[in-house]
Amino acid sequence: MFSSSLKFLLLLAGGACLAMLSAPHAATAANFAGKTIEVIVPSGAGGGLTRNARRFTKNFSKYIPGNPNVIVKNIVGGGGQKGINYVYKKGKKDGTQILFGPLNLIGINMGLPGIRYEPAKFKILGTGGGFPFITIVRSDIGGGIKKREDFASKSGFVTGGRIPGGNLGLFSRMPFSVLGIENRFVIGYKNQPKLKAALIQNEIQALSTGNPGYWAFYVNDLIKKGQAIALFQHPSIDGKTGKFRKPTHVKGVPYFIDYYRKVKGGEPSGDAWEAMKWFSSYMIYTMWMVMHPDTPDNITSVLRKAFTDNWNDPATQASFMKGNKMAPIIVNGPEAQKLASNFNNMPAEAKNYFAKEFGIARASKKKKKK
Amino acid sequence: MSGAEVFDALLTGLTSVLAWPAIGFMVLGVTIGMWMGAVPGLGGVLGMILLLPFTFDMEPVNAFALLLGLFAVTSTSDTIASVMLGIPGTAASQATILDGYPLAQKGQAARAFGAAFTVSAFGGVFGAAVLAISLPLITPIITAFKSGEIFMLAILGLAMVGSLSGGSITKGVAAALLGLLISTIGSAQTVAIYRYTFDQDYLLDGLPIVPVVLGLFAIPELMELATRNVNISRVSKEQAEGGGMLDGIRDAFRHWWLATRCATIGTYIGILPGLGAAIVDWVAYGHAVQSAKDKSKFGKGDIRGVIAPEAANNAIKGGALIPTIAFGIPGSLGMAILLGALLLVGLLPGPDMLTTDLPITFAMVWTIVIANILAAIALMFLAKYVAKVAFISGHLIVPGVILFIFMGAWLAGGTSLGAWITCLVFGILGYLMKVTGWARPPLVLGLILGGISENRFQLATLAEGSYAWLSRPIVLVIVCLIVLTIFLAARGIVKNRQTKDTQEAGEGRGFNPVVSLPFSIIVLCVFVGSVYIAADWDIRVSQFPLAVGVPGALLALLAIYIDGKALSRARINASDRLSVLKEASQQAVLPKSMKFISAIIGMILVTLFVGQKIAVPLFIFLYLMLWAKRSVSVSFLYTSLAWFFLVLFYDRIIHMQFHQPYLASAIEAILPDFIPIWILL
Repeated sequence: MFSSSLKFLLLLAGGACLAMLSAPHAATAANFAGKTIEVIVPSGAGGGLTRNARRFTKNFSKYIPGNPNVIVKNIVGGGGQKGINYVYKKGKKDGTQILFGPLNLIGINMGLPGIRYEPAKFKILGTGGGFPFITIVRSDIGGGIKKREDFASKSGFVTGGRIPGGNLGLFSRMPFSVLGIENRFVIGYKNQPKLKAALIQNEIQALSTGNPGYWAFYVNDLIKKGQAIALFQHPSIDGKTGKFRKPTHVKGVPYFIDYYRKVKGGEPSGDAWEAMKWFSSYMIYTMWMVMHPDTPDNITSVLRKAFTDNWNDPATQASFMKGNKMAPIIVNGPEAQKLASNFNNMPAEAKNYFAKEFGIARASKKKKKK
Repeated sequence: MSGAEVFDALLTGLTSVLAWPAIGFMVLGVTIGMWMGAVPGLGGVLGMILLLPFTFDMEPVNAFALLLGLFAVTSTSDTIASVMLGIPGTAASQATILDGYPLAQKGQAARAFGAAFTVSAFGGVFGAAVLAISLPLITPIITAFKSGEIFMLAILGLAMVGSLSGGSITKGVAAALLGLLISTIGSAQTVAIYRYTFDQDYLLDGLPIVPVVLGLFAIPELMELATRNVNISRVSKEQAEGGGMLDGIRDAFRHWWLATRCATIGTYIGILPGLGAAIVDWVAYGHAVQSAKDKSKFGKGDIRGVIAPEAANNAIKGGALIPTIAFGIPGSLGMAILLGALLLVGLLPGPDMLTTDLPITFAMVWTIVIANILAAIALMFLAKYVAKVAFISGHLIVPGVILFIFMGAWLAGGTSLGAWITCLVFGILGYLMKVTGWARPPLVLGLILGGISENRFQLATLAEGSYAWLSRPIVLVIVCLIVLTIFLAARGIVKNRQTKDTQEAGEGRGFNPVVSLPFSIIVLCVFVGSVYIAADWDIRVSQFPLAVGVPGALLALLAIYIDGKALSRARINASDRLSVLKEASQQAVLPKSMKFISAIIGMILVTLFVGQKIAVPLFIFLYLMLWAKRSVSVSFLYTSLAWFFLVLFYDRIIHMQFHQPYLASAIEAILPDFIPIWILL
């Protein structure tokens, strides 16, 4: 049996545990003095998204009450899902952890595995992006192209993509599908440098890159040397007008819709086009800033204001201009929340297209049969 | 550019690096780099991530003096943990432990350091020199090595398994196949389907290499120190003969040709995007074993086993810098970060780096050269003091190292206790492999090369639309090298058997059939289970798991047969079954080892509830008090220092993402307002 002193100690320990468990949570004030805010980037430390996160966070602190320390952290894995899942499931609820990255809205629509969040449930500060994607091809493709329109008659080449279901792969494929150009799609190059290496090696002849990648990897190298051509660019669709935006900083590179009209002489249509339009409306925002769903509203509104103020800061804009040659299109909190709620209005034609492209239907067929 | 212009750029690069404040930034980078390399689980990539924000507004030369100064030297200082503890300081020094740690056990750690630091400096300078003179060769090399060629190089790396298998080629190859199978965890390469993830986020991207390697190598060594109550050095200071720093430097000069060959291997592996630092030390080690006339001492403290990987892993950084700056194609993760820095300071990779920005390129080359020399000199100064650690009680080393390896595993593994569980599971696996004659290096090699092999095989086949790439000239040359490598390895094993050298100490040579038989059966179950699951998948997803699972199962069956035969021989010689079991248990220190594992499991469970900042110091305190039988004051002082370091370094300096425990809110509520929460959570 327990001695009386041990009983007393056990009672004391039990009482302390009860007190700890039943203690009310301290009220969370929206003042971050002395705290550290972690901006979680769900991709690699050397990549374009992290560079943009660093550009954004450089001045973020001065717009947050208490001027906290703001640091960037990378949680890599699962094509970005690991980091997003983390913030959704285990992220801090006091505003000191904010995701900076793309939400896989297409993956949720298509039922891709590994996604454990509902976008609308996040506390959303806003989103940014709208940078165009650019399609690049080797200039010697199919015997060579002298002017961009020559490409429309080529076929049988290889298009490279990064990861299954990734944005860049889809943006590589969709315009070719819309144009009806037959090509073989090879996915699995993991990152832009490996895609670029494959293009140099002539293992692939076409690819798509995001705006930061275009400026960082291609303009000063393969395009300058004449070994590759920026074929066309894909801008985003303005949610309010339903029309394509037309950024002007990628000079001399036609917009896809104009290219299509020129070589096909009409308006695009079909499953691939519907898919492309949906994609250009939702997936083009790559810099969502979201917090754990249980983050208090007062903290959310304070950080939403800081988000907007920081994007309006000329220093932040200048920093983005330096790396991306354009400032991103910003969607503030309430509008972004709508975007995160409406994303699943994907047309059936687009769904058909994506199901084929992802290859999940074929890959999981055997399992379903069983 | 004319020769005079290039020479001018070379001099401008040198003067800009030696000018203030660039030289100051370099010294700072080298100092931080030496620390990041020496602590297991940190490494150059983390160091560069930490310093990256500070380079935002710097002049390019200053920024690269800081970053490259740091990055260039981590694979010099990582030798310290590899030699002293048998734990790879970074991914680039895994192979160094095979002979470095046995040298420390013989009391010759200083000799290993002398050789390692000398060839590290040589390798670093060699890689940088090759970088400077081989710029015109890069385009043809990069163009020639497509996915098919990279796949074949990965297979060539795997062929080194023969040289790393120790006593049993069957178990060596089976271990490599197990590594390859483990590499298939996570997303399939070309389809959005996850394999063997069991719905766990932690496994979505596969198992990170650092927790696996730390577990495989560190935990068994710590268990040995703890359970056998020994020092790192198994001989006293007085008995350790010929183990001084100067002996090591002399060794390095004596084996200059090996060092040059391995530095060349390192540089050219660095140039090829996609292979990277994690493989180069193994390839260099394998080369050293295969090219040696007398192979019998490898794995038991052969200085050539230290020289080869250390020359290669420093040279790779010069090689990897070439495609990064010339094409924007980083050859490794560290170079990817450097590329990010390049872009952040406003420079663009491409021809400009070789023309208008050539002085900056040469400044980077000089940074690598000077940093390597500085680090080697500084570490040689420090090494004689570090080497003395080999003679202090193992009980004082275990708790501190537990802190480093578990926090290192956590850093690499991210945000859940998955990293610790991985580290522990592979620790148990490493311990079992050690006592059962299953060599661990083949498993690591399989794990590193598995993803590359599968990815590049599928890319090559899909891009060609056929297997025609198999007939490309470079592919055929590499196939010949693979055949030659396997032949040399087989010849080496036959020679070793003829000299009856297999029962001595060294990786994969310990053999305990009583433990080995059930272990082989478990391995068989893993292979069979994986094949059973994979049989249900689409061919693009299942191709690789089936290709390694089926032969793996057959080899595991063969291992069971070998173990069964050995066991029956042991039973014939023994008086009864019980004595066989007892002897095996004593040989493997089973009861104490299980206690040690239980203590670590306890630490993980406590972490679930109260977090690392309480659980790890608690483990350290209890270990010192109850296991090591140290006084309360010593235990308290040691624990306080460990806790201080845990909070200061991992939280306040590098802002590691600590585990959010179940009792977080309760601890937060009970803590007085004047005590900051980061003290405990």
